[in-house]
Amino acid sequence: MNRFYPLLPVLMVAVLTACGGGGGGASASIDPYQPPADTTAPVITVTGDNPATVEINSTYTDAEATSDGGETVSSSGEVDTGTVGEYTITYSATDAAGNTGTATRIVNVVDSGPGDTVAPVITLNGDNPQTVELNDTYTEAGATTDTGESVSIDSSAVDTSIVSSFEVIYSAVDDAGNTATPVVRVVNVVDPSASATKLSVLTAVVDEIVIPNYKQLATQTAPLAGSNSPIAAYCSSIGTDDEASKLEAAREDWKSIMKTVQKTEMHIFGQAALNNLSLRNRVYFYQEKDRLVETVSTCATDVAVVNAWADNQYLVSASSANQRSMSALEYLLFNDNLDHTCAANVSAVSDWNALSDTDRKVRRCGLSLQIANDVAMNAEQIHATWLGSRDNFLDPNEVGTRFELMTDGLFYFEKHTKSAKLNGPIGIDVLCPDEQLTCPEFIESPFSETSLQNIKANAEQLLEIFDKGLDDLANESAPDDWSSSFKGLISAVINKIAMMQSAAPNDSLVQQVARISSANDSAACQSAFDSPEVDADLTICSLGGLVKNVTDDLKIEFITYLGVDLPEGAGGDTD
Amino acid sequence: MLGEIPIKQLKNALGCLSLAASSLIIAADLSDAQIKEVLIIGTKEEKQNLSGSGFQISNADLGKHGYTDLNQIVSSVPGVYVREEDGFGLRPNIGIRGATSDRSQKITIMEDGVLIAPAPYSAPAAYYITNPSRLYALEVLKGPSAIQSGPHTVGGTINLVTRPVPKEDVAELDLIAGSDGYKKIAGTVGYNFDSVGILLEGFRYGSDGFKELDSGEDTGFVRNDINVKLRWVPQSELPQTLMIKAGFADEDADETYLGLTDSDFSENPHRRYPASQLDRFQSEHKQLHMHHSVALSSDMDLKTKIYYNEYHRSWNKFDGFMDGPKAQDVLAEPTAYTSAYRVLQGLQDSNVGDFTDLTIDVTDNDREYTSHGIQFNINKRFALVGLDHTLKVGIRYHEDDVRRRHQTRSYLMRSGAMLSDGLARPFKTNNYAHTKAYALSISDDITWSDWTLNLGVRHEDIEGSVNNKLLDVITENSQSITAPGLGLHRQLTEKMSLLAGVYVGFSPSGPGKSGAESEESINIEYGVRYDDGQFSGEIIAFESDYDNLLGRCRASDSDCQVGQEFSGGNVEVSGVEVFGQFQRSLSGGVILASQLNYTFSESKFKGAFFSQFSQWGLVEKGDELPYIPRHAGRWQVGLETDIWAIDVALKYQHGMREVPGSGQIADDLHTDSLTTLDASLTWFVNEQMDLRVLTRNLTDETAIVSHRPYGARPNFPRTLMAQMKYRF
Repeated sequence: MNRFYPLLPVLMVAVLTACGGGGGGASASIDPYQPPADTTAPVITVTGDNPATVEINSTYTDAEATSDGGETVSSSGEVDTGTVGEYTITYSATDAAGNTGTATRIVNVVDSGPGDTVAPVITLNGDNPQTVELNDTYTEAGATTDTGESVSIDSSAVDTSIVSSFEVIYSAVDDAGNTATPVVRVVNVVDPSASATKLSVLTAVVDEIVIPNYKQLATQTAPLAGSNSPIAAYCSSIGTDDEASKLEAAREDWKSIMKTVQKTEMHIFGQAALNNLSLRNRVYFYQEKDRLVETVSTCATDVAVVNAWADNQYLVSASSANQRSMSALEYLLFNDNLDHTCAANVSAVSDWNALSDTDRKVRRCGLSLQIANDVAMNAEQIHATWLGSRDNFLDPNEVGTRFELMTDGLFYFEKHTKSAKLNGPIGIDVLCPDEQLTCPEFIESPFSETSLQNIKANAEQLLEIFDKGLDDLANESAPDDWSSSFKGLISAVINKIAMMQSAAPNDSLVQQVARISSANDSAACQSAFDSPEVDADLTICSLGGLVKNVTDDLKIEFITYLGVDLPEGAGGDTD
Repeated sequence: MLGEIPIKQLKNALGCLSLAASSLIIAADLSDAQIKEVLIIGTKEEKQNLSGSGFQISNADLGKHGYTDLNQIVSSVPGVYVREEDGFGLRPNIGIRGATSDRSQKITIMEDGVLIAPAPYSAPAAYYITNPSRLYALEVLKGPSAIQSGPHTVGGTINLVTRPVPKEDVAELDLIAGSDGYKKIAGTVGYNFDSVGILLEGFRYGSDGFKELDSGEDTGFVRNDINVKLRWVPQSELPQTLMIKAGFADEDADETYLGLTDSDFSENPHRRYPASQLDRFQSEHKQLHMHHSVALSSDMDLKTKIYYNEYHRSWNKFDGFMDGPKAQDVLAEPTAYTSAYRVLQGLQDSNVGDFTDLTIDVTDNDREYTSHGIQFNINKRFALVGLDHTLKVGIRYHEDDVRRRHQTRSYLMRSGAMLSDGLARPFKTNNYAHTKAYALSISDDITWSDWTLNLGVRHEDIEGSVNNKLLDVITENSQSITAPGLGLHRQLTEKMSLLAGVYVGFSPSGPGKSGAESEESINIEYGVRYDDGQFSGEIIAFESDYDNLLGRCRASDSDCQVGQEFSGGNVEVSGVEVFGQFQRSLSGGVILASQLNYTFSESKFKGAFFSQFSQWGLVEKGDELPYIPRHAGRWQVGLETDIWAIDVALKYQHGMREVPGSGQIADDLHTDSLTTLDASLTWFVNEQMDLRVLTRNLTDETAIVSHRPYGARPNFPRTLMAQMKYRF
């Protein structure tokens, strides 16, 4: 039987042709002037996708079809969106002549896994909080989402004719119906002519310095987590011709991040200071505590390199502060000596020095990537938690406490910038024991040799914070324009470093401290320190004197005029 | 109080009301040989020609108001400033002519001519002072004569004279009961065996306290004091006396430094915040003094004193927050420190994990002191080229020390109660300070006709050391000071005399401190005295120029150049002291007596400077000093017969600046002006018994007497007391 099947259509065509031919001859014979009868079926065009795809359990809405003769198109066929499968919708239309045209659409009900349940993320353009001067126009800087949806902006609450704080709300929904977490931009309408209050100054410092600095830090460090980061590029280049240039790029990236870190060092309070500075220490670890300077432990980091290589479960987030953060990263990126720095009895690194240079670089790189990732995460966390706690921090009912947290933060310049970073190393500050001429072990950033740059960044940030209204506030009780003279003292530090760097760009603090090598040098240093305005050979010691001029005023005039207290021993010791 | 004196003498003393500084009247009870040897001003004759201002308060006057508060007692002396603290005067703050009143540390405090502050050189703050109940008389020495005693001569000296061994046997009971559970029980027994006399005194006094903790606990104190005095007058060729005095005193007080916000003060000045609930002061004092005096000839005598004092105190007290704002800032501006303010009141729990923990710091300022020494005073009277000389030479070797262990403990406020957080905290202060001092003073009163010229000089060699056990650093210093003085007295008429004097005052810097931190002053005084037997008075102008008040560079500054910032610390204090008293017999055996004193003071800093001393801070040229009242005065009037006595005292102290300033006092932190009225009514029932009703602050005036250390503190409220004295 089967072999006849192919013949069936042939037979049918033959039969139909014979019969039809006969019929045609017959009608022509009836009336040759009549128009030919309409035998053309309507042509149906399916609108929208064909085949169409619909996600399981979602609603299928048919896009329908049209007919070229304008006839009504009916459709048949069901789509069960509860069941994965191919469904057919048939469209048909019949014209007046009774010709029926049909078309079909295939509808595929698919289950593409979890589906698009990811809400879009809104990112604001411009500043948040944003400051607008009284009666100026609020300019909407807009926002974007990561998946390109348009963002709805409700800025109706903003009234720039009132000094107050307003909220602009940003929202977005994607095609899958996922709603983005709304983002709020705080718009502070300020009156520049109004006299400064503790609250206005604190608000300005938080909104215009602290949060933007952490935002900048988060932005700068975010790429560290990605596979395209300069460190990742360096890691992939080890052993290739590009290695040196990629390493240089990774170092430059570190230095650029470090500049921002040094800005944030001047405002370690609020979220950055919670839990004994835990968040801040995860981003950057260098501190003076009980007359000792704590920073990266190179041996602990060496051991961590070995552990991280051996154990793919190694967690930077579980390691201690002295083997992570920008500090450990500096050691791993800038220290060209690949040997470990541990004592001979540290068994974890006993095989290290026998490894090839490439192996050791690769292993260090492995930990560097993890640390970089951790830094990025924590930098983002500080920024996010600061945004979340900003209103609480600026609670007017707590402004006394919070203002002092901010001014206490500036004493970083006394305890760290002056004593630990500069005057301790040159042997002037009591932090450096009497029996030592100098204390190079205190020097910050000794591998990148950016210590002077750091001090400059601290001074610039101190000046910027002071300029945010602390100057006006202080001058309200100062007998003369003390604020200007204080700014002059800070500027003297900044200018001195700029001058030192332009005169001898590569002369780092490490090298300058090394030049104080005898009792005579030490005496010369002391005299340069005592008369910092006079040009001296040991410019670093003159700089020490200039920095002390700032901290002298910080400890007395600053706290007196601003009505705050020295940070140490807040409880005091009354007699 | 007066019981050991034979009743006849008592009546005599009361009869003439023995008002202070009247040399005629005080002679009645200060001429006793035994008293003489512990006086530093001396007797009638000696005081009459005193070229400086000296002041004496007799036993009778002390008894009048049943005072147990030294602050109250010294307020009747012109030129003396008092800053109240706890109300009971347990740890008085007394200053003289501009010397700071802070814990009486810039004046020399003596008991029977012996240094009595716990460690007058190493730690001069007077946490111990002789219980006022033991006082028999009181001397205040100002002006050039102040250089005879030291070491602190910028202001002057207060000498607390204790009750002598009575010549006749006596037994006395003194009972007082009063408001707020005030009670005192005192017993005195004096007995003589031939050449040996003994005096045994014991007393206990205390109060439940007038302040109110929200929890209702006591805020008062209890003090015990037991003393024995032995006097031996041997039958020897040279007349001599040996006196040995031994004493023990202790105290247990629920005392705090925490005050109130001004607004809480206006609602209830006696409230105490729950954050002070653990505060407690405990102390023990032991002393052994030996006094020997011998008349080497009719015109020369020698007094020798050997003394040993031991004092231990422990003061657990609220000292702010471990992590949080300063308590004084919170109390000054509570709306800017809402959480901290609520934690102080127990309305909110300490908030561990927030930006500030608000864990409460309770620090035990534990200190042990010893002070001992030997001193010789030789008085020699002689004539030389037609001039009468009275030469006084004093030599003293003194050592004292203080061991400080200030241990912090931390507490969490939880539903109004304070719970330890169990964390080990380091010492705030852990040190040992020691001082050795040799002192020599020479003074010569040269009398010619009606002129008396006093020339004097004081020299001290002081060696101090501090072992800072926190840093393991020992610092040492030595000071050598020679300070001269000159006084002139002229008897114009029998009743009127003129006096003038100038001297260099000095207050040594503490052990281990830079010598530049010692205070020096040039003090000038001049005035007129009048005494016609019925009325006496004096008007004295004074001016003190201080150098080197605490300057900029402090020990806490690790790297400052010694001496670089001291130029601003010059201060000028000047004023006028007026004193007058009179008495008159009215009909019916009634005696009317009245006494008035008034002190006008003005002060100014002579340069701008900064100090981390919290009372000063930013000082501008021309600013007035804190805690010196512009006007202070007291007026007392009494009527008395053999059967009854009534006595009223009105006291006024002008509001004081608490920070330097030059504008209206009200614009800055300041204390309130305060006028109080004290009154007493006595019935001399019979020879055995006196009954007395006393009130202090009869009109119940309320004022902020200080905002330091932490917040507003009240004065003593209206208190009613009933007293019975019985002599067996």
